Amino acid sequence: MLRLENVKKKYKDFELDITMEVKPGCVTGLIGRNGAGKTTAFKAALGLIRAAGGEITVFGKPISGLSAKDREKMGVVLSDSGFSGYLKVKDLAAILGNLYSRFDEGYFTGKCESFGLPFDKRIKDFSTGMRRKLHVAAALSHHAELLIMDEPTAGMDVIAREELLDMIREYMETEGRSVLLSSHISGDLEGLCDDIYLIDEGKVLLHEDTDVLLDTYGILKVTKEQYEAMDKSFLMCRRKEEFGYSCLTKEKQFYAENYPDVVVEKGSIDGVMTMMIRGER
Amino acid sequence: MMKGLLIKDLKLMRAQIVFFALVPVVGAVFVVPAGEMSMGFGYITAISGLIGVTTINYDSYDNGFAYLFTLPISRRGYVKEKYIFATLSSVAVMMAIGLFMWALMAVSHPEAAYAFADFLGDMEDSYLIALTAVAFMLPVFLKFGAEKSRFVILIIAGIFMGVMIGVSQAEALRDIELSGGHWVRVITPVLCLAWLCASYLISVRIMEKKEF
Repeated sequence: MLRLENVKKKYKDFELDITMEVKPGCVTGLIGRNGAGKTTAFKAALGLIRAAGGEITVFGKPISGLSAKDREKMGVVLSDSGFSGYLKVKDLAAILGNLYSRFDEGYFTGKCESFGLPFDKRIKDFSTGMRRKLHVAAALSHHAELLIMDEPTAGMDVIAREELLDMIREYMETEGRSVLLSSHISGDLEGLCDDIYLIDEGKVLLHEDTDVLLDTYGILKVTKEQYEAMDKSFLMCRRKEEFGYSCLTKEKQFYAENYPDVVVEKGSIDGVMTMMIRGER
Repeated sequence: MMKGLLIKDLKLMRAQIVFFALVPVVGAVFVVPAGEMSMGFGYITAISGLIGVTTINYDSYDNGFAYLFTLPISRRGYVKEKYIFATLSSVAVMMAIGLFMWALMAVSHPEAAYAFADFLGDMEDSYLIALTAVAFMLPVFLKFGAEKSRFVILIIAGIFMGVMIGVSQAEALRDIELSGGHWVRVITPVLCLAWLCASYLISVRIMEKKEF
């Protein structure tokens, strides 16, 4: 559905070098701290910036060769851009209706109403959360096959966030659709994504199925002595602590069975991310 | 795609409603005390040339271009729509304000006997100048964005006011036309159209190179 193969982009103080894929029927999450390169990766995937190397394909076509018809099959939410702030929600139905051949006006206005968005107010006067809701409603309103959403839940309250995640689950009920999304709230991704890419400083540190990450990854809390004595074959990284070390493993069961004295914490996206970024390998 | 973009720009023009309301008032200030239209033509030329171009500012507001080009809009298609919209909006605005000012002139200064046919001729000249300005401004706005282009607006408006006054008073030019130089009337629109086409190609190149 979407593939970035050795995509490179260089800025003065940052370099992106990423390979990733969103498969048909999958929800793929992109996580990383601020400035890790998530937005740059999204922009490269959308053809908004020119990659210095590598290949980007969407629906099997190079991004530079995408037609307007192909673009109709994509629904996008960006973290730092949206409809002109001088437009109003009531203007958008007419605009989108003439841009998308499969625009569902009833769905769009219904979602805007259910989100409590004012139809007669300029978008520039909306809060961040309101803008996100508007763009999510627009992205979902034209039967897109691929959703690309950079921080779609940013600025939303808990209820709205849950509602949005339900909308994405509902969207995925139709076969063959895919989603690429990023979020700084790991809970959003844990409950939604099939696989997750962790990126830092423009590079992929980890790619894993969410189920695998949650079931088999673990963080070991060990003293210095325990650490020296243990088999380190399945340790991915370690981090120095006051009590000794925290160690990330992909085989928590192995350590739980062979080292019963060791404290083994269940893997979580936040835990794995912190260890992968801050730990020593 | 084109229709959606045109609708967007019409909706964005509505954001300038206060500005539009003030345009005839300012136009009246140029015409009534002076008792002649040259200043007024300079004014409507500048205003009508700017109307369509300023929608680029609304598109680029808050990094809006990035989102715009995730919609089913090609960069070439966007540029094409801007030229169509700027060309059509400038003629509409020019006709509306021009007719108002001509009527005002006829009522406030009947002694000037400014004929409607002369008015239409002068409007044609003004429109060609406005199009030339549009062809200059569109690539500038697309290249430099809203902020930096504000200086360009001021400079262009000043230059065109000056040119219009100069042209209206240049006896030499009138002599060329009166002495059978009707080729000027033919070649000027052709040159204007050629300049507009060249400007379009430059704008397409600018947009295709741009990153958001």
